[in-house]
Amino acid sequence: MDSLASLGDVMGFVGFGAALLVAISIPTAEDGTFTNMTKWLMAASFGVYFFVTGSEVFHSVFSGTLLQDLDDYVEVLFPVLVMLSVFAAYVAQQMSDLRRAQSAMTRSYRMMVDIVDAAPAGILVLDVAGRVNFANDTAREVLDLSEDYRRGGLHTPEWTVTCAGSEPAADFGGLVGEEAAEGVDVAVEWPNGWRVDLTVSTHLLSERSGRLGGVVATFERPTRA
Amino acid sequence: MTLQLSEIVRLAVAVVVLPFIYRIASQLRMSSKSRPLYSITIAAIYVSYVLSVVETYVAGDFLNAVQHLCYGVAGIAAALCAYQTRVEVLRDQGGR
Repeated sequence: MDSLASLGDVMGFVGFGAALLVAISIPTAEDGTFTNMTKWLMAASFGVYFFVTGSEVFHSVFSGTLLQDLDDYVEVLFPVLVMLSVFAAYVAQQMSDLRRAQSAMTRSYRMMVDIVDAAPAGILVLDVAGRVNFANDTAREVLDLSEDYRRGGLHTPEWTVTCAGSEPAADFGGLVGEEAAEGVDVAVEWPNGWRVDLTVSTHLLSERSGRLGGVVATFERPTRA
Repeated sequence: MTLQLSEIVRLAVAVVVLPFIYRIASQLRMSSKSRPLYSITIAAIYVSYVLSVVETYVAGDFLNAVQHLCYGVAGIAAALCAYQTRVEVLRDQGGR
């Protein structure tokens, strides 16, 4: 029976030693703190039994009890380390899923922007106050809009916008109504006298609560006089 | 063979954390090769905890030998599990 027990200890010592070395040699992930934590916690749990079985082998060869006294306490760490490594692996898995979903969303968003930019019509997304939140390439070109890198969003020129049936304003507030509209005449005038006449159609954007969240305004590229 | 307090504490800690390990591990996506190896490693260690207590009361020498053989089984399964994990990590990183 003793020789069977010793065989088990030697097998365990060699097995856990190999497991420890292999676990340490698992390549470290550059972008995953929790993936690396999983690796080191797994290695530590193997290390616990490398030590425990090593102390048994040491005891049977040298009859020393020094390590055996310690291994009872070290062994308690094993289930705790296993639980922590499983938890770290779970968090790493969740974060990896999140990164993948985020990457898919970014790809999808870029594709949508490319499609919208490729449209020959001008497309504007306005907030409820009529300020421009988004403009495709055609709209930027026609309305002389540029990216405001300092404040974020779009920089709008000091123009005067006159929508049919409303007072001249510094924004497209006249297009924001309770219903979608088609064929609204809009005149945009710059301080230097330059003027662009547009025929605009609008589509309302709703928030989840059902409240008006903004307006999508589309117009044909005007023919230059 | 006398029952030591550390053996009881060890078994108690192991039993307390087991539901957590099971619950979290069941939500982990592991390959069909590494999951059984990891399960065998943990199961063999848990069996050794139980046997270290039971051997005090019945079939002392036999159960002691089985307990130490459990270390051997756990060690071999752990080595295979670590190797399989390494292969899968290398394959995933190569596939990026």
